[in-house]
Amino acid sequence: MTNKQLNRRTFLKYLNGMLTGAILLPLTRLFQENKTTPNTTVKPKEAKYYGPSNDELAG
Amino acid sequence: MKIIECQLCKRKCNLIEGQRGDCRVRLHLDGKLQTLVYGNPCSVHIDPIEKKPLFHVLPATGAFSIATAGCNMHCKYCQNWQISQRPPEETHNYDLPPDRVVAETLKANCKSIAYTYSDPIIFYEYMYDTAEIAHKHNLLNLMITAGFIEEKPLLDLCPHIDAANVDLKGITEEYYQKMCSSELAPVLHAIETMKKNGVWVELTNLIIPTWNDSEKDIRTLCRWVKDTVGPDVPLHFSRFWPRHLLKNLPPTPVETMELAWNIAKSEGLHYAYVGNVPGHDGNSTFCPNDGKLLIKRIGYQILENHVVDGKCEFCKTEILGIWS
Ligand code: SF4
Repeated sequence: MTNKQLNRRTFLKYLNGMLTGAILLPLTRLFQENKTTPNTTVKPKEAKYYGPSNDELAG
Repeated sequence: MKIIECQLCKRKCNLIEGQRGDCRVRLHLDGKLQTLVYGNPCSVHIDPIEKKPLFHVLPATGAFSIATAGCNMHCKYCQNWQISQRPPEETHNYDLPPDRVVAETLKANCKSIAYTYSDPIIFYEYMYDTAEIAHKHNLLNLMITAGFIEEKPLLDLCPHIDAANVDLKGITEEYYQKMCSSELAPVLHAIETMKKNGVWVELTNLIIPTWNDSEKDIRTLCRWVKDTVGPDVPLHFSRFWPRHLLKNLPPTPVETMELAWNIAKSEGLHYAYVGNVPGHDGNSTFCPNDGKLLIKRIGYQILENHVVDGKCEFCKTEILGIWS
């Protein structure tokens, strides 16, 4: 294998890395966003142990 | 305007329509109090039971551990603040109703379910329903809590909880107020209530430099444990590591941990432990009668176990706990 071939191969490797990165980065961002945005699984359900408050508002 | 009072924990939040409690997960909505975290844990892990820590309950078994967002405590050193000090809309939650928690626990071959990480009091209804189903499948229920709960819900819960590790954070009202915006007396009462109602109780005391590391405080705490719930209640001293709002403090020196361990033994406690110092003798269990090494641990790892049928293998002294 000549030096020239090696260089070409290395160049292609870099190119491949850059292309993969360019495609994957926005995808990763998308997933990250999904993780931090409010999720929709919060569903209220009636709790136990509560009652009317004695602290009525004055006036 | 209708105000409702939450009567679950000692904060007793008074809430107007649309308002949430201090724990961020209970909401006054349409004239009712609603829980926002039922069946929606944000943390689901399989942990060694030793991590809880529960050293006298089914050693070397896995505990299926769940937690939701929110907490009714606001400790400056919280290690889980990313979930405990957030509302459920800001955590990534799983859809895991009680029956699925039990199914997953059985599938993972765990012997227990631990309600842990944040304080499970704030997901009471979820914990209660899961615990009921778990008992039908011969699983143990473990509650890891700060114990800041009203008496009635605690009494209703006790029959469904097999073991609890209660965080006895300090032994003065001033400490509880300044460190956790909370109170000591209800926690002491909750520990007694659990013990009287058949829950196996272990206690954890996190020792924080300059806050609760004086010999006087440690001794007072040990005396309270011995005189009130008895010398067989295991007491875990845990080494502080800088976290959350207390990053300015150094980790607790190992010498302080050893001082606490020695005080506990000199005060007559049978099972005192040193946590967060892997490899220390205080990780292990010794027989209170003949002093022989019974369970050798390094961190959460068990290397030897000489508790046979709940007794010391050598002198046959009963070692209290849940061993089978
Ligand atoms: S459980 Fe939550 S809403 Fe209820 S009293 Fe405690 S902090 Fe307030």
